[in-house]
Amino acid sequence: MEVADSYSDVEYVFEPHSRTLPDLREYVAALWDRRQFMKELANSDLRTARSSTTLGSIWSVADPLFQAAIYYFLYTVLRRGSSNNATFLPALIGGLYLFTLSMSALGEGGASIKRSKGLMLNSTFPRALLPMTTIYKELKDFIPSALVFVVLYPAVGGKLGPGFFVLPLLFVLQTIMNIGIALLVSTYVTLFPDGNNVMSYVNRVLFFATPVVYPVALLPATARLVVGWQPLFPLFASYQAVFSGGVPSPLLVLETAVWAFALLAIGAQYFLRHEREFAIHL
Amino acid sequence: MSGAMAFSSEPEPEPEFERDPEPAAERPPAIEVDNVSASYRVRIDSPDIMTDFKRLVTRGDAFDRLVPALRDVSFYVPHGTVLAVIGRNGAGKSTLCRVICGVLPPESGRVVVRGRMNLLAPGLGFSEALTGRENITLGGLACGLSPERLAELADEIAEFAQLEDYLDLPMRSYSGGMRMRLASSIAVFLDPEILLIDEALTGGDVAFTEHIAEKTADLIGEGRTILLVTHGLSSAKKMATLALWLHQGRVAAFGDPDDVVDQYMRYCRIESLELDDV
Repeated sequence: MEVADSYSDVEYVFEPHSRTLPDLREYVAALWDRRQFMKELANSDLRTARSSTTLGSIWSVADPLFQAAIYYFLYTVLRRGSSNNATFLPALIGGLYLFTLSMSALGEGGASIKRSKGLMLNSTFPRALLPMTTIYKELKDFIPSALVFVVLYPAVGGKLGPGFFVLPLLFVLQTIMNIGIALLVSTYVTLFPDGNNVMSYVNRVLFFATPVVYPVALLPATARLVVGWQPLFPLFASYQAVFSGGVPSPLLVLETAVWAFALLAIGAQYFLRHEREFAIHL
Repeated sequence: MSGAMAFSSEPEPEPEFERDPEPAAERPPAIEVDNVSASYRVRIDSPDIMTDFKRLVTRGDAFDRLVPALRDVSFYVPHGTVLAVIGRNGAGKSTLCRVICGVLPPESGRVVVRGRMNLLAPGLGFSEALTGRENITLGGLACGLSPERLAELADEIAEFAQLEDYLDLPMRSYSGGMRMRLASSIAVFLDPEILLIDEALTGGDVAFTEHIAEKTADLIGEGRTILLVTHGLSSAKKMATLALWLHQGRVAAFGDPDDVVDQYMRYCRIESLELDDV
């Protein structure tokens, strides 16, 4: 038997699962090497989701429009449009679109490992690609909502304030936070079968504990003390300040940054320590 | 060569086997499996609410059953070898493939693989709503190939899988056999140095089985290392240079394919006679 003489020097060693962290530089390099896979997987998921409905891509524009219409009806028609409601509407719509992104990180990102059982059992690649693909896909899917918002914002009385300069920073921090959430929750849901049930409550609690459908100023001091200690609070309080024509306080932005990097660090640690045992649980 | 195993429901301790049935090059082996054990965790349904409460208190571990799939398995595969893995259903053959390619961590022991490896069928596991071409692209990208190379390969793979007319149709319109043909074609075309083929996943009709056997023969001719999980004993004898018989997660025999297959066939005949007696 003639043995091929041009073998690569690739060597894999598989030993019993230990919860030690892999070499982070190598891991990130492996993620970077598979970036095309992540893009293609996200694009395929989007195409699949669109091709399974009659309206297809039209939904990505229709959905944010319908959401805006519902809240417009609630706030200006049902509540007879007080001046406070009218000022809050741009912040409400903006906050709602951005909140959907974080909830997708929790729901879709969280389910990314369990949903990909076939892929997990038949291919080898850094598993963190799966939750990260969800975040990338949701960002792409967010573009139509952002465009709808750009058109709607002035139409519902939104004003451009100096706070808009902080918006890109807030969005980057939200994306970092979302990656952390997706890594954390996908590990939890894979290891604990009851994770999905728990997450549906977390989702609902976060919706009310995050200043999206109410102005921060309306929160009583004690309530603020309670809900202010969850990661999404400072982020969405900052967004609200921006969309209300103001500037978020530096402390709020700093608090958002600390939460974003803390969630990324905690989520990545938890994921990387357990990723090799995922196959046992699928 | 290894000795035969005892033909009882509880196998004897793993027999010793010669470590070097056909010394190859000076290079270290392509695959080294050293005392590997692996298990699956299976959750047992609780009969009542009290059991659920107990599960909550004990974090559930006491109610999970660990199903041993591999027990102290050791063997090595030199570069350029075709290793046929045979054994009955549930013997641990597919688990062995998953442990070797790093999908499933061993419970104990160690696996070393030297060379670029393609496992089973990289095209499996993607959405059935995607077209065959998209599956080829995703399977290849997951293996680290460039999009340009994959664009070149897509038509070649489709032609090989005899799916030219279906390449741009969603996979949900494929029959089971067509899906498997595509998956196994992707696996053999992605230039692996070490190829793991699980026949349970890559089955097709007789014509295609012969077709893929020809392609595999090409890879063998190029000196690639192949691990073939198969129920086809004649193809194991014909293609393999080494054979491994797994029984209830243990190595029952390892070595020359003719000897190992003969031992396995003797065991199957004896078991069949015992069943007839019952």
